[in-house]
Amino acid sequence: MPVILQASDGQQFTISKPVAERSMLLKNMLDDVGENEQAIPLPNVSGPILAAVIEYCEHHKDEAMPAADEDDKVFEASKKKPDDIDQWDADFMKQGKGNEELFEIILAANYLDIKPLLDLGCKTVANMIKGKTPEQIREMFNIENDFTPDEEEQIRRENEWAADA
Amino acid sequence: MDLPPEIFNLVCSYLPFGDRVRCTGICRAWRAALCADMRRWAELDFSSFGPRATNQSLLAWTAKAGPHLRRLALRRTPRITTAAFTGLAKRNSQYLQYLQLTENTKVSATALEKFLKGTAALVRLDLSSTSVNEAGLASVLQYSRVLTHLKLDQCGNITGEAFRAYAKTESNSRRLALLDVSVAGTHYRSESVALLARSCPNLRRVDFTGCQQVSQSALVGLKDALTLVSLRITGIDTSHRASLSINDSLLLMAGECTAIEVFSLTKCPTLTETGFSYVALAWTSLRELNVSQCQQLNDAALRLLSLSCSGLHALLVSTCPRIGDGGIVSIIKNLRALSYLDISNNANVTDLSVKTITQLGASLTKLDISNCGKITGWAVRNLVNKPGANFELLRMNNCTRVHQDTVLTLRAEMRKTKISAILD
Repeated sequence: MPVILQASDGQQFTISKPVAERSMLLKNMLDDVGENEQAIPLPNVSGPILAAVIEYCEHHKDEAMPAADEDDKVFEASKKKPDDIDQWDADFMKQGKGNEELFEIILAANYLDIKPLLDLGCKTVANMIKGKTPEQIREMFNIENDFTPDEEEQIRRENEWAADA
Repeated sequence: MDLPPEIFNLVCSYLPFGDRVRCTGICRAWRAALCADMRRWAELDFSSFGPRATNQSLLAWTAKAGPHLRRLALRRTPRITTAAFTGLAKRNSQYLQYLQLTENTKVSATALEKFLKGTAALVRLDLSSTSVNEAGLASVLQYSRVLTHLKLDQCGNITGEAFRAYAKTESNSRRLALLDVSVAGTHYRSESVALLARSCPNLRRVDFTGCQQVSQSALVGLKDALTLVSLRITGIDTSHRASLSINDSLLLMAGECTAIEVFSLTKCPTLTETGFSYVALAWTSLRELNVSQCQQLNDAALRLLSLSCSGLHALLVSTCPRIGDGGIVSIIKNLRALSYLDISNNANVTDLSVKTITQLGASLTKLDISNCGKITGWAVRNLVNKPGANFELLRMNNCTRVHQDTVLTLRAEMRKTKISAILD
């Protein structure tokens, strides 16, 4: 039985159950409510972003679900590598996606609870930051430097040793 | 960037330390998000910044982690000095599990000792090539009850006295959790070896490579280390008028420590075929054996080894003047799992050994035949036809009868092999 999703702009998508179940939010909902012909409203996700998320879930629908890992592992940076991204995933993230779209996908993955997509999005942003100077990072994300001169001086002293990439 | 702080932090968890530090200097929102949770800074690795890491930076960033500091790596950081560790000692490092401060002599032994008193959660400690002394080691033994890995290689102030003191003062119920102890190149003494073995009921690996004070009596002392898997020891001094010979010491130890898989006993002139046979017959699960520079090792010993230790992966018999083709041929014929063979600096090894490798050395991926003056280019040239796995490493430095043209041909034909052929 197909599942119908409705994006914030009213756009509807009909997808198969295994695709929908990549999202833990939808899986739990389907488990609770049972099969239903009504569209599931997703007020936090726009049509174009939902289309991209569905494209990702379609591609990965046959893979085993990743084991839920402890929260604690988030902190073990030494074991996390941003480089181990699968080729399809890398291409998926690149295809004409600006920063805004990229962030929206990350937020949607977080909301829909699709851990592998959330990780992929975060790795992609991490790779954009890696090796860049503060000025380059500000320019890339259109961020204003809002530190006072005093704060700036303290940061300079603390961070000097890590200044170059 | 309009990401909620928890997602921004997830992004930053994929960044190396230096990049994460730079992110704290982008804007107020980023700084607040990154500095809000001390656990984000639980793992600090300054090693890749070497001389750029300063006391000030170390203190600033360890302060951001607060008591949550779990991992601190400071390899080759010459600007980290006593002052930084004195500062750290005043803070709470109760969760620190890993500390590496190798090749740093600017932190005094006293500062290290004081710091180590507050590190009850340490699991791995690497202070190789530092000024740590016996008082520091005593602190570790007394306070770091869960420490499993201890590495003090090349520390000139280490004799192992702390283990003696520990054994004297602590009741037998307080055993150490150590699994892996490496004190290579220190002044560690034989008497302290037995005490180490007795205090650590789970000891799996010990390394005494290059410890001139460790003699054959150390082997006898190790017979209490029933769980020992790996033992490395060098240059047992013959001038020691020990009551037991090296052969007898090995007999005593080999019968008890039956789990040994890795054994290295190099530069041992009094080890004979008899002692070697104890090793070969008792430790049939050996995977790695290094008996380089053992003058009395002969072909009969190698033959016995090849029949008894069928699972051997690595064999190093460099500079063993009594071995020749007979022993090497048995090794190649019988040891079908052997992947690394070092027969360098052996004048009696000839083309016959190389020819056998070409025919039967299917499992071999690393070979060292440096300084084997009798081996010719003709035999080496055929190594390309070896069955099974390709060579990863082929070392043939100073092989005077292997012409440079042969080396060039081999390099062209074995593109994935690292070939070393330097002539002095």
